[in-house]
Amino acid sequence: MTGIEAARLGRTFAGGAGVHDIDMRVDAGSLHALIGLNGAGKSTLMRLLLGMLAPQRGSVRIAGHDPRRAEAELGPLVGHLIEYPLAYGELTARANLELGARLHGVPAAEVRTTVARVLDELDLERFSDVRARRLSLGNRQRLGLASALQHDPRVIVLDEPSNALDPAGVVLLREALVRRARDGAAVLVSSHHLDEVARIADVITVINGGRIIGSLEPRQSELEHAFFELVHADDRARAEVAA
Amino acid sequence: MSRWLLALRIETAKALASRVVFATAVLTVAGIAAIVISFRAVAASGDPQVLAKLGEAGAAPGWPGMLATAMQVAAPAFLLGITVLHAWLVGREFADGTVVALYGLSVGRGQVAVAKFVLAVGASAVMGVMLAVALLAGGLLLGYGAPSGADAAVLGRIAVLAPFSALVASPVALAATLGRGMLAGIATGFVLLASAQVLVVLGVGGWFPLAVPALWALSPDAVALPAVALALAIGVAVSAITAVAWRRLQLNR
Repeated sequence: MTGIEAARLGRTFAGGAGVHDIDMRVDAGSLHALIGLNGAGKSTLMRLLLGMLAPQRGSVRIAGHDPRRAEAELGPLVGHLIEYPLAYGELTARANLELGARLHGVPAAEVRTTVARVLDELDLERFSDVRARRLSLGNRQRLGLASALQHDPRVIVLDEPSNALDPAGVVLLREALVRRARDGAAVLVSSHHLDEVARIADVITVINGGRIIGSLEPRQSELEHAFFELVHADDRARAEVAA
Repeated sequence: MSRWLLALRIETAKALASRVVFATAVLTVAGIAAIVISFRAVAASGDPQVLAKLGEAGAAPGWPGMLATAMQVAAPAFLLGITVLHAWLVGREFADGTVVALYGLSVGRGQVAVAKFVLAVGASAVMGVMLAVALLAGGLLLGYGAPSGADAAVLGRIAVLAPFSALVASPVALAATLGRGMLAGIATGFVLLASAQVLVVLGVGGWFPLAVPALWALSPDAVALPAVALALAIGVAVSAITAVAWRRLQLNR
């Protein structure tokens, strides 16, 4: 089953920014990294994939559904973290996770064990009774990741998931994503650099100026060098076209 | 549990934890009650300036005077408190950035918007009952004795005024949605309140939805039944439009 499928996808904002002609596929059981510099279009693409923006061109399917038309079907199937977590400052970490579990379709009888499991998995147990607004930035990020992952969705979309995480948090995140991909989830993560998570991906797609410009072989040497080669070559080609 | 009930339950849990709804209700009721009871205490002294301000009805002794004063104060004050409720319940999702997390859930965003509206009306109903009880206690403390049947009916209408006002104030939630934040909702609430006051003073407020609850509470016979029905219908229709706006919401700004 295909987790995410985008065909000729495009959305242009006033001024020309946006994403254009995106063809992309994230298969079940694979961990796919989307790498691009700041402003390359990663977040816009993820918002299109999740239905937060309507495409002007092309189509998107996520977990088999059109995200702009799907109502409640996506709840159990998708987990995401785009910029802000599903975390209300006045609620404790545990209460936020319980709320998130219910909103993702976890049956009431299973909420407690679901939350306990993810608190343990992301080492959040000691903060479980702390209000979200009092958590450090890193622990709020862990809370957001926990909310996105706790219901074991079939499709996972995370925008810069290692932001603000300490090294221990990055390791926990990496293990959580590998485990879920191994269990059949389609995982898409974005990053502005080749971080610890991007390096363990099965596929690395490079985006620049709102277009997909190529891919990298995750196990190749000089990965960073190859990334900048691709980006600079694309920038030079654009400059020549503009001239 | 249906998705509608789940949305309402989650919105209620969020509202109870934040204390904004509780504080708004308590402060609005306490403010109205304090103004009314202090006016009555000063009016009892016979100060001609205060009596002139209260007008003929408000200067009347006992329950009728107190309830007339309460009507004058409660209608705009409730609307201010309700503006805060509608604007905060909707606008906070944009201000806190949590609206991003409301995609891809088992509960639709339209259902979330409806739950917020129902919660605002429910909280306003509690606010109305709280004020009626506070006024009853105040009147007893001021030595007015038990209210007559007519006075009790006015107390009942004061209790209904708050949820009625919340129903017709639904444009505040729509404005907070379209403006992507609380301030757009609050500004809209102020404009609606000022418009209602001006139209009532000009004598043409009988069909303006925001003015109808206060005019009805003041004198039910003076307001045409179709005007009440129209105000309620417009309130519900605007709430439905808000739910559609949430359903189709794009995070493009």
